[in-house]
Amino acid sequence: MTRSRCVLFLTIGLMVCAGIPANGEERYQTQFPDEDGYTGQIERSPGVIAEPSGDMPSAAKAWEAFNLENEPDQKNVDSPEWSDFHYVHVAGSTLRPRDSAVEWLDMGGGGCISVRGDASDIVNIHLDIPHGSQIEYLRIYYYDMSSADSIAWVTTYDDEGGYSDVVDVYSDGDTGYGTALSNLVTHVVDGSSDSYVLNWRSMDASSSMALCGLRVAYRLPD
Amino acid sequence: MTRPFDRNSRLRSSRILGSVLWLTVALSMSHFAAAQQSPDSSGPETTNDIFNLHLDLPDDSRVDYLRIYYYDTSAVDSRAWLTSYNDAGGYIDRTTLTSAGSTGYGTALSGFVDHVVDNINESYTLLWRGNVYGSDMRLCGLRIAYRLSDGAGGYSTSLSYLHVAGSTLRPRDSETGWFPDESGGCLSVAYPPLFEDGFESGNTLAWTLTVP
Repeated sequence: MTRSRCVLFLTIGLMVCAGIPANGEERYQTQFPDEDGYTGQIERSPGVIAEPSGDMPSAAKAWEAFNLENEPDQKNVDSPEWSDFHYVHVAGSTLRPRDSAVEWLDMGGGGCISVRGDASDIVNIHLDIPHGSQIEYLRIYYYDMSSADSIAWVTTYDDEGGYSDVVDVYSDGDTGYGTALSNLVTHVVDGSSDSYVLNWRSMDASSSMALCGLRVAYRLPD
Repeated sequence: MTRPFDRNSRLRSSRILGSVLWLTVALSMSHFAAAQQSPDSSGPETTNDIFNLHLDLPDDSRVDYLRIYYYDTSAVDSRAWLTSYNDAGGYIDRTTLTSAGSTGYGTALSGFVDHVVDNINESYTLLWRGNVYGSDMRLCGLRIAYRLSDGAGGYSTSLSYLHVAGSTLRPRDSETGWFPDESGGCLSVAYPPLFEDGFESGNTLAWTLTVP
């Protein structure tokens, strides 16, 4: 028996002893709770977070008075063509300016964004929405103590400098936190040709105006 | 009679000009260095700046865990959160965890979160606070493990993941700077600039050859 054959048999023997299949794949044994197949002990996350992420205590929901469950973007209507509503819901503080010269900061426990400088500056975020779904409503959640009203859009871009605003909605009033709903739009998403973006313009670059959330209500084809 | 060439005066001017240029170059170089390393060796300089990223999770799915991937050679630990907002200034930190240790690349896992996604009433965001400036602390990734709803009150038997690179998070405040690692996937908090007048622009536009 040659030396190379001895080495080969020794290697295979060691792999068998070590539990490594000869085809080179490692024997898979789940060690962590966030992987399929784990059967060990599970430790729960604490209900109260020792170090909060925001600079103010958690506030109770303020939307009960708005009866949002009766609003058109939450009342499902039976349709043979479309599913019940689905939502893309983003915190205002996750939008960013389109221009690096724009200053911004978070407000409202870290969930809202306010811009400084030019009131016409726009902040945006990619809208990840399924191809073929139907956009029906855009809802804005805002903090507005200003005489001006901010505006939000869903906009599509064609990658050649062209764009189309699908739907818009204004922050309404000047009494603090509030929400407003766009008119109904029945836009079928075409992800093959267009990209989709959520845009917001403050119209008042001060702490009197902040975007706290945007929510797109859409339906999937049945 | 014209004044003869004053060699000493010319030499003095050259020295002043050289000093100004040297000071300018030194200050500019300090800008690039300052973004990545501590200005002194007295220990890590801490920061409370928070970075965030929108989190798109399927309706009615159940979040089970948050995992952080980091590079940490600092005595300070960084912290990540999964947080939901109610659009009116209220928030709930669904879970939090820290980068543990100071030996380089590592990972840590949250406790079992057991939160059912409610996209009607809440928006979801991933947050990270480096707690220390410079490349000794890097966020390299965050991973949410969740289970899809089976539509009958239960959940998928297999886990799904939403896994983001650390370098895709951005600060909640425009005054906060950041920089990536060599791979482009990890992110660190940049030291604040020494000057607030835009001098540290990263180019030579603010340089002058005028001798004071």
